Amino acid sequence: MRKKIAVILCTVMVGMSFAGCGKQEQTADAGAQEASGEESADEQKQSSGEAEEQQEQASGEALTIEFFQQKGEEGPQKGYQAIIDKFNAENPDIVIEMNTVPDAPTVLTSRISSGDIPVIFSDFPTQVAFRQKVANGYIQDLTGQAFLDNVEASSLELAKQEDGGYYALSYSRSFMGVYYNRAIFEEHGLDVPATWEEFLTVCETLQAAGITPMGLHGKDPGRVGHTFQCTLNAWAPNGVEIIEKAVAGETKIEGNEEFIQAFEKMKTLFTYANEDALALSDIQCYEQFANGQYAMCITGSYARGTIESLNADLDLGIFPLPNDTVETTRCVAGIDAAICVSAKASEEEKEAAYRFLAYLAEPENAQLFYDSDGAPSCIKGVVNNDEGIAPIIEILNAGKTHDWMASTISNNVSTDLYNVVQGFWADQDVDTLLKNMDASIAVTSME
Amino acid sequence: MRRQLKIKGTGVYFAFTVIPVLLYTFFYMISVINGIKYSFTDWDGISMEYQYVGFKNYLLLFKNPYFWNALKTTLFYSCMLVAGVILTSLFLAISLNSLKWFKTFVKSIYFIPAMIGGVTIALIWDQLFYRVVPLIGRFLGIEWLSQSLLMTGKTALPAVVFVQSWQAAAMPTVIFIAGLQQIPEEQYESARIDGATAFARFRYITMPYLLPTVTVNLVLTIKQGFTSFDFPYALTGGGPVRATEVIGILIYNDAFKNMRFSVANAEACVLFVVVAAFSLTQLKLTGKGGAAE
Repeated sequence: MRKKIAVILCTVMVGMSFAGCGKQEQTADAGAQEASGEESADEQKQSSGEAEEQQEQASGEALTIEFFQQKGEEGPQKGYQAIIDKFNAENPDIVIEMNTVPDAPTVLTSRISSGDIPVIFSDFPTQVAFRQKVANGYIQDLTGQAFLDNVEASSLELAKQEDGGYYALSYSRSFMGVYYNRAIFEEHGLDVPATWEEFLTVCETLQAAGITPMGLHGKDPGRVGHTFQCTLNAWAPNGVEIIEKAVAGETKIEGNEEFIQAFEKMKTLFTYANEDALALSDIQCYEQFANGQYAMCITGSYARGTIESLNADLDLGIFPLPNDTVETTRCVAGIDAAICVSAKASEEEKEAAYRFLAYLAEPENAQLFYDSDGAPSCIKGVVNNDEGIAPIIEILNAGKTHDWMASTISNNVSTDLYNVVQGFWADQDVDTLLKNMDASIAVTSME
Repeated sequence: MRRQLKIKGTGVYFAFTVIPVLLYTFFYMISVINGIKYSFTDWDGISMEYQYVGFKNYLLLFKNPYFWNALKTTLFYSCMLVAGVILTSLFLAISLNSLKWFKTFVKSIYFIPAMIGGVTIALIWDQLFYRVVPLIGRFLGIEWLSQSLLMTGKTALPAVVFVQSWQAAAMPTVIFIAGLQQIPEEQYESARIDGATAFARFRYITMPYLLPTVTVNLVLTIKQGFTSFDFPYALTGGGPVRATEVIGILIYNDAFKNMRFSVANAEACVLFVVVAAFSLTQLKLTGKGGAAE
């Protein structure tokens, strides 16, 4: 009898573990609805009412579409959710569900490779990996869709693929820049530096006042890589092209004047930065910066929401890392969020997805997203009303930008270069660094 | 009647094994075989098509200095982990076993780390290494301890091993305690009467009885060391400059960051062979030792 009970219990347990897999979706759904109701009490009531309504319809004929988006930060998620809530309310026949997971790029890759492609997803159309997805026919060609007319010409061009088609709705732009604490700058009578000389004066003034001018974080090689890209583009405008040539075996980095100059500047920057950069993770660094321990911090557009959430009172500004002259200053920039549709979805799903994309591309909705994400919008008619980030917006609009390395150099090569540069952060020896970069490229481009 | 019951009993036991066997075959064996298959292809993780390329991925690996570096790091990592975990847990088990009062309570306290997830522990220690440890170092005037241990190539690996040992010691401790409780008290009594010292009692009574338990713990810890990923990944991400890049991280980066799934699969296959070889040799060695006693 006992054994019988044991067997029955065991079967039930196995059964429940399978049922557990099925339940998850519902919880995620509930989570999304919870998140949607955060803004205000009124809206909460409204949105919960809507959610009920939607669920009723969901049981009827409404089409549920997954929107897999890759931003882990709070800002963009809130922005998307606000638009989704509006869309779902206005379109009773469609229910858009946002899905956000940790380590989204990895999850998206494995989902695509196993044939489980989300109907709508965000991706990075300038990267090599995106071109692979297009070449394999996973992503729907959006060329000719009316909503693409709402995208600014330069952003649209950036996202163009090799076959001349547009496979993504460019939505917001990414950049690397110098974040600065405007209150500290004001207190010491400092202006935004436009040249390297001015930048050094700012650093010296701050250091003399007992403030660490620059916060760097280098524990994660990937983050070192972003700072490396920012400094390389600022101080060696042809740097990425030289690396491309080195990968092709046409040149060596060792002895290259542009690189030597750029890394000598980096060495100078180290003298104004925190000494424990290699021990610092991005979040730890943002915390210290948000609390006023550092006056500046080099990081990407993705950090803005996080930094603002760490200290709501922080008066934040962002400027491009300056080169010797204003004319030669360039900034790393790319497409941060671009929305794509799966080519493997059914026609009905695709139609619903296009409607959502068109809705996203309306200026008032893009403004909604911009207001909570903060990254410059690709949609015409969105206004930036934050004077702190004006300097970086200016350089983006002037087109004095360079795309991220991942658009022309394979990840295999760039990730290892990040490791090599991390070594330079430790020993600060330029000659060794350039030699190691050549050695690294020789290994990673072996195939 | 009795016979019937017995057959029924065996049937139930059989039914119990069928479920895990099915699950194991479905979720594990098929994936492993697929993994081996992909290691002989040029699949990039996204493409719908792939070609068989024979041993090309393996040849590439053997030419790649980073692969050898990762293998070496993993080996060091495992050795340090085994030494750390076995010694700590043996010491803990013997101390806990000789407690007179609050035995269960103290035991459960020492077991807490095993109940917390690896990444959580790594994140806690990450903060400790950054905020607390340097303070202690500065207070004691020890230079290498005055900065985050995860910051330099020399100290990062031992620091990561330390954190994993902190967690991994709990399970072997419990197994050792179980082993210790098997030893008949009379043996110690007679040894005491014969005038054996504490060390002699440990060497000639505790150790021989404990050897099978040591084997189990060794196999478990070696396997943990070789397949370690969460601790180094959460604490250092493989840095600084590949100093803590164990083979698990190399596989992950090659598969998901560098989009070289086939190469990553080849790395995993090599890791499998290495772990199997280690475990077999070790089982053989300690198995013999145990039999001789």
